[in-house]
Amino acid sequence: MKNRFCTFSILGLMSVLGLFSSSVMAQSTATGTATASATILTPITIVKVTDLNFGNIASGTAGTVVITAAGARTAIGPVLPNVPGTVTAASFTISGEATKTYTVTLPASAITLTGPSSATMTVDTFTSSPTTTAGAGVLGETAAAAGAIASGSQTLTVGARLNVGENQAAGFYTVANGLSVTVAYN
Amino acid sequence: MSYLRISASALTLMTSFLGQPNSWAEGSSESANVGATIVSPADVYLAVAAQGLFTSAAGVFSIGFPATPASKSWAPSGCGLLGASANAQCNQNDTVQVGIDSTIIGPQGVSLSLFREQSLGEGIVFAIVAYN
Repeated sequence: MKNRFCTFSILGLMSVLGLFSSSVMAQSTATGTATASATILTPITIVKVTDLNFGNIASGTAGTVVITAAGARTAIGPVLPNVPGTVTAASFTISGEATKTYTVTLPASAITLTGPSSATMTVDTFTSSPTTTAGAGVLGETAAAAGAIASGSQTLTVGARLNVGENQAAGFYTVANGLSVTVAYN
Repeated sequence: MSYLRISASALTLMTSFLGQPNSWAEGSSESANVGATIVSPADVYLAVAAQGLFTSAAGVFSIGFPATPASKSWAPSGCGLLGASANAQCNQNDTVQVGIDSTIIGPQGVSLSLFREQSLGEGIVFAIVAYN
């Protein structure tokens, strides 16, 4: 009887150990898989195409000359000669990941143009197309959305306001690389 | 110990990643030149009854008329003499182009007459004249 008990006990112990062993074996061999992936995005770049040119302005009356982002010129005060000279909004080519959106950052303060005998004029009130609205455009396929890079590139144009003084000294006024524009993915 | 080793590795990886320039957030920048040309005013003096003396060199000029008084039209006279249409009508704030015949401009200049169409002799007529 004692032997039978021992036998059963041993068998029982072995069974328990077997189950335990089986359980341990199952945990140690369980496997799972997951897909590892990564997307390398094309860096966003901006390249200047055209400078911002206010063209010819007659000296005399003080006021402002505005170039819109579309390149239209208007004046309040100064006379604009019939021969306008070179009048252009600044333009840039933005390149990057197709359909991604980006945000445009324009100068936050006025920039100063320097002319003859260190005479100066200031340029402020910058505007752009697409606009500077944060997160302009929607991530997706809408190429027409503001700030969406369609087919990997888009033209960005920038206008501004020129402040002309009374009897502003005649001559060419400029500032090299004064109009800094930054673009970043949203 | 195993946990510590993993954490250290992750920390190393994170530190390495954060050490790189954050080009995503910084984006890309570019600058453009900005320019404007102020053209010289021509030497023109216009007085009462609009007698003006033009002493500038030959060229083509734009004339801007004053914004005041309102509701007045301006008609330059002597434009035929200067090679443009006589009595060309100019509205307030318009610019009118006057052709200057270099043959009639001598060292002493040429007389350019302007008058205000409906109110001769009133006030001082002035204009802004500039080279194109």
